[in-house]
Amino acid sequence: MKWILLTLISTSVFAQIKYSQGKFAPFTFKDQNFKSLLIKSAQELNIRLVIGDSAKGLDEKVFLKVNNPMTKLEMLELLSVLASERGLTLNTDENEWWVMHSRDMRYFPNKIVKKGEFPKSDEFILYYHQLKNPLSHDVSRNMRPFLSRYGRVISFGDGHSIILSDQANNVDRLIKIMDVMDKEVAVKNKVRHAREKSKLKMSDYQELKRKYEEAMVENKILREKAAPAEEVR
Amino acid sequence: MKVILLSLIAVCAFAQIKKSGNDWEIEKNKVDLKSLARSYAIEKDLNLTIPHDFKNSSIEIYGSKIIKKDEIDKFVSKVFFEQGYTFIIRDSLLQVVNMRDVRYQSVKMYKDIKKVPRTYNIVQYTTNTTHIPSRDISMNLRPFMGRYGRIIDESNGQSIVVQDSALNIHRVHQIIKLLDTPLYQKRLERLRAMNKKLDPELVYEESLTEVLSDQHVLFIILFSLLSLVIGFGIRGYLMKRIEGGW
Repeated sequence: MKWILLTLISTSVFAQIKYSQGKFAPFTFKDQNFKSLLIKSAQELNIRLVIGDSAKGLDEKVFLKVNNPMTKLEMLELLSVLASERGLTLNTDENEWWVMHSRDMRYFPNKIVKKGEFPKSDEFILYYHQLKNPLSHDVSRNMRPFLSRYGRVISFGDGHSIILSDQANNVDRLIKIMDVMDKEVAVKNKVRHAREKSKLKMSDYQELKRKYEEAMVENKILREKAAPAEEVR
Repeated sequence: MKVILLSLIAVCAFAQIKKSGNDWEIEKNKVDLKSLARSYAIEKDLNLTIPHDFKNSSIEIYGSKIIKKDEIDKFVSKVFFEQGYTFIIRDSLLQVVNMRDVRYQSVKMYKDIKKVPRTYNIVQYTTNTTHIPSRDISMNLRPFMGRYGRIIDESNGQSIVVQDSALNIHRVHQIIKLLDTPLYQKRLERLRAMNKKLDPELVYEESLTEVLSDQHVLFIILFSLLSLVIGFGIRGYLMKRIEGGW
């Protein structure tokens, strides 16, 4: 009797995910691991799910309560977010989901996506951005703290071109930050600073350098004085 | 009897992949790489060689287990690429190579992007740029290369040589296409002109010792002149002392 009950419970828990007429019916997924969720979703959608050797963390349990019907795309977005939480990436193709470690995505050719066509998922994409002002070097350097763990940003010599490789959800955010930085006033200020610097004579420069070095030495002495002497045991 | 049994076991273990028409059907959820390589070699009618230090791992497949004929190359090469291996096809031989060692092998070379296959096998591709300096491409695209991918440039001829997975070469080509425009060249020239104008012109004031240390002849002449003056001075003084006067 116990066995029948247990089987019934496990079947009902597992059989909650249903895809019909282009939508997933609302479901609750609990007490099962992420791998089961992926397998069930792939089976419902008749998609090939490949789990590579590097994919770890699939056995962690998931709690999921979906209250509204979901399309295939929405389900994919949800799964990619859950995968991302576990350090994994869903590398999607036409009829294939490939689960791999996010770290390995840097060696895989991700899709080049145009603005406005970003998937709302944590899938890695490549985006080519053109700034209005020649600030790509400064902007790309300032972008680094906002990248995801395995994201990349590269600027090119023309001063306008930037290539971003990051999770689609984050790329959207990065573009907004870049738009804030991409201002004409920044170029004007950069030029002004460069002009001021160009007026500097060698003697002034050497004087400044000497003062800076003196300050550094003074600072070091002060720090040494401030630090409590280590007790000799 | 033993031989028959062993052969049967081998055939059973081997039968992880079944042909259904032109397509493949994966029979089990777990497929090991060696079986996959064997099936692929049969599919392509090639002889197969696997390196002695090959680590036979496996992948798990769920959901749709049918792999269409036109997807087989991409699928199998991706499985091996993920595990750090690649295929090199020489005439009738399919060689499984550790990607780390691919630099010692001669891989297939392409000049036309249309002919580069859409697989994960390592190939070489050469191209030229028109507007963007090839150095800009080779230096900046390194973070987008595969683990053992290479990109080099010959700046005088504006040529680029890339060795990477075929699909990544397609991506690199797309990036080059996006950047290699007259607008890039125009912007680059404008930026260079601006930077030249704003380059700090530091006025370097050389001291006499610095001038002398660089010009030895000048130093010798100056020293001789000085000795001459001192010599004449001493001589004059001595003459006065001897002959009297002052």
